[in-house]
Amino acid sequence: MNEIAVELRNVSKVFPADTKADEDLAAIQNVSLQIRHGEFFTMLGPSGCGKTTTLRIIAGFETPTSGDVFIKGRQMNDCPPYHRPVNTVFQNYALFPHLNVAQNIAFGLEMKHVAKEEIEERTRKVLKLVQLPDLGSRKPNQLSGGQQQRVALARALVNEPSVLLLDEPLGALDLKLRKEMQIELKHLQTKLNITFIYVTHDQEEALTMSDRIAVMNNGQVLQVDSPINIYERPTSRFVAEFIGKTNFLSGKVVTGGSQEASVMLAGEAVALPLSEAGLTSGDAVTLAVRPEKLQLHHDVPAPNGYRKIAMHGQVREAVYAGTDTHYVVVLQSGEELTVHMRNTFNHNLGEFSPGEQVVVTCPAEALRPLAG
Amino acid sequence: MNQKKLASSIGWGYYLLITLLLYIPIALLVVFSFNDSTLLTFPLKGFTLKWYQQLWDDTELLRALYNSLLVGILSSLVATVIGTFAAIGVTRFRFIGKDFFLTVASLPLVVPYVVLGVAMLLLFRFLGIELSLWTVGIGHVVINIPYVLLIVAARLAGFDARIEEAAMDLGANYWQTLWRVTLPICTPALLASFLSSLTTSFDEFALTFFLTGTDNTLPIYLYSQLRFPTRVPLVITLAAVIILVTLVIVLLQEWLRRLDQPKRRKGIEIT
Repeated sequence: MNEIAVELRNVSKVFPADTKADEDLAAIQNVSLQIRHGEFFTMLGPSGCGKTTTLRIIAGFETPTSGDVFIKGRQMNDCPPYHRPVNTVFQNYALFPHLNVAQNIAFGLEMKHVAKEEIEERTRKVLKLVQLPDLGSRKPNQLSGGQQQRVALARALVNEPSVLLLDEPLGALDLKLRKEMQIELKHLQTKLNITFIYVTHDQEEALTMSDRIAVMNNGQVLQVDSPINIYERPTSRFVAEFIGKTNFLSGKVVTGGSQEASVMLAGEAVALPLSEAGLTSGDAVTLAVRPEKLQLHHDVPAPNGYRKIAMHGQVREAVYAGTDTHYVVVLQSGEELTVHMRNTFNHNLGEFSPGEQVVVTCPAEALRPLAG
Repeated sequence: MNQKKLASSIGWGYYLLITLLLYIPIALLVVFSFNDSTLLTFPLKGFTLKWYQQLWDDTELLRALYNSLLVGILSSLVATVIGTFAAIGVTRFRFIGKDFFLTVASLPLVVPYVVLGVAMLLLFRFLGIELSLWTVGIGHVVINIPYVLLIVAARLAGFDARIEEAAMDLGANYWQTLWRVTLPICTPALLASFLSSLTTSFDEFALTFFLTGTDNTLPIYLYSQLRFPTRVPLVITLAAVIILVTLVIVLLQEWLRRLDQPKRRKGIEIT
C-alpha cells in the first residue's frame, strides 16, 4: 500500500522562448514529489503555477529539462506517452469527434490488440461503471458536458491504468454537477484502488477529495500534506492565503525557545506553544489565524482548561452572512482581524455592534507561525 | 425612409446587373448548344441535339477529355498527399526556417502561371526531360500544393491538438495517431482539397500550353478548334457540358465544407 507509484526528483522544465526578445519560461523548478500507490493526490495552485506542466511530464507529453521521472520504480524521462502505464482525462475531454462513444472507449484496447469480444465486454462494463450504459452509439457532439466527462473517464479507466492523471476534469461543468462528480470520482478511486493524480485550481475540490495535496505557485511546490494539515497548519503565507480565508498578524519574539516562545502580538505579550521549528529572541514572525478559530467576548473570559490567547480591540464592521456573522475588529496595533462567529445558541444575532470594545480569543494552537 | 428605399433598390439593381453579366454568357452557351446553325446569331434556327451527337462521336475530343481527367485526377491525388504532409509539418512541428518554407510553398499562388510555365519549360529542357502529359501533371501538382496546404492547415489548426495527445495517451504511436485520428478528422478538408485541385487542373491553360507535348488536354484542344468556324458549335456544346459538371463539383465541395463546420444546432437539440 505504501509503495511509490510516481516519483519526481528535482524536475525542472524550461520552455525556450519563441523569439529572441522573449525570455525562456521556467514552467517548473526543482519539483520533487512522491506519490503513493492508491493515493488520491492533488496538485493545487493558481493558473500558471506549473501544475498542468507537471502532469504533462508524468503523462509523457513534455520531457523534463532536468531531473528524473519514475513510474512504478522505472525511470521514464524519455519514454513516449504510448508506452507509459498511465492514462489521462483531459481538460475539455479531447474525445475523438469522428468516433462514437463505444469506439472512443475501445480505442486504447484496440491499440493493445485486445481480442474483439473482450473489448466489447470491457466497454460495456466501463459504460455501466460511469452510468452511461445505453449511449455507446452516440457521437461525442450529441452528448451533454457531464456525459462527455464520463466518457472521457471511461475511455481512460477501461485500460486499467496503474495511475490515472486528471487535468481539471470538472472545470467545464456547472457547480451542481461538479459537486456530484466530485463524490463519484472519489468513490471510483476508492473502489478501483487506482492512483489518481488530480490537477485543480479549486481549493474546496482539493480539500474534499484528496488524500494529500501539493500546493504549487510559480513553478514550485510549497507544501505537500494532508488536507487537514494544509488547511490547519500551512507553513507559508501563500498556502495560508490561497486556501480559505486567513488573518495575518506580525509579531516580535520576546523570549525564544524550542517548545514555547513569548511573542509580542498586537501590543500584547502572548505565550505561544511551538510544535515544529523553534523561534529565536528578537526575530520578527508572521502568524496566520483562520477567522473561524477566533471568538469575540465582551470581557476577558475566565480560563477554561486549554490555553487561550486574548487580544483587545474594537468592532468596526458586523455583517450577517447566514450561517455566520462576519466581524472586522481593529486591534490596538491598528491591525485588522476578520472573525467568523457561528450563529448558534452561544452567539446572539447582533450581539456585538460596530464601535464596541471587545476581546478576541483563540486557542494558542490556532496561531500558526509562517516561514516567510 | 425614402432614401433608405432608394438605397435598397440601387443595391438590388446592382446585384441583378452583376448576376446577369455573370450568367447571361453561360445561359447563351447552353441556348446555342441546342441551336441548329453554325452561326452564333439570333434569331435561333431551331432545336437540335446534333452537336451533342457529334461531340460524342469526336474521338480526338474525347481523347483530350480523357487526358484532362487523367492528369487532373493523378496530379490532384499527388498534390493532396504532398500538401497534407506539408500542412501537418507547419501546424504540428516547430522547425528552423518554417516561415521561409511557407513562403516558398505558397509562391505559386502569386507567380503568374505564364511565368511559371516558361520557367518549368526551361527546367525540363535543361534536365532533358521530354514534354508529355507527365510534365503537365508535375506542373499541376506544383500549382495545387499551396491550395491543399492552406485548406488542410486551416482544418488542422482548427481542432484541439489534445485530441492527438489523447490518442498517444491511449497507446497509439505517431503513425497510428495520424492514420486513426488526425486524417479521419481532416477527411472533409482532404476531399475539398482534392476537388479544388481537380477543377484547377481541369481548366488550366497557360501553364499546360508550355508543358504539354503531343497530347492535348481539353482546354488546349478547345482553343485549337476555335480556328475552324464549323467546329465552333461543338466547342460551345462541350463548354455547356463542362459548366454543368463543374457546377456539380462545386456544389459537392461546398456541401463538404459545410459538413466540416461545427454543428451548433445539433448540440442545442440534444442537451
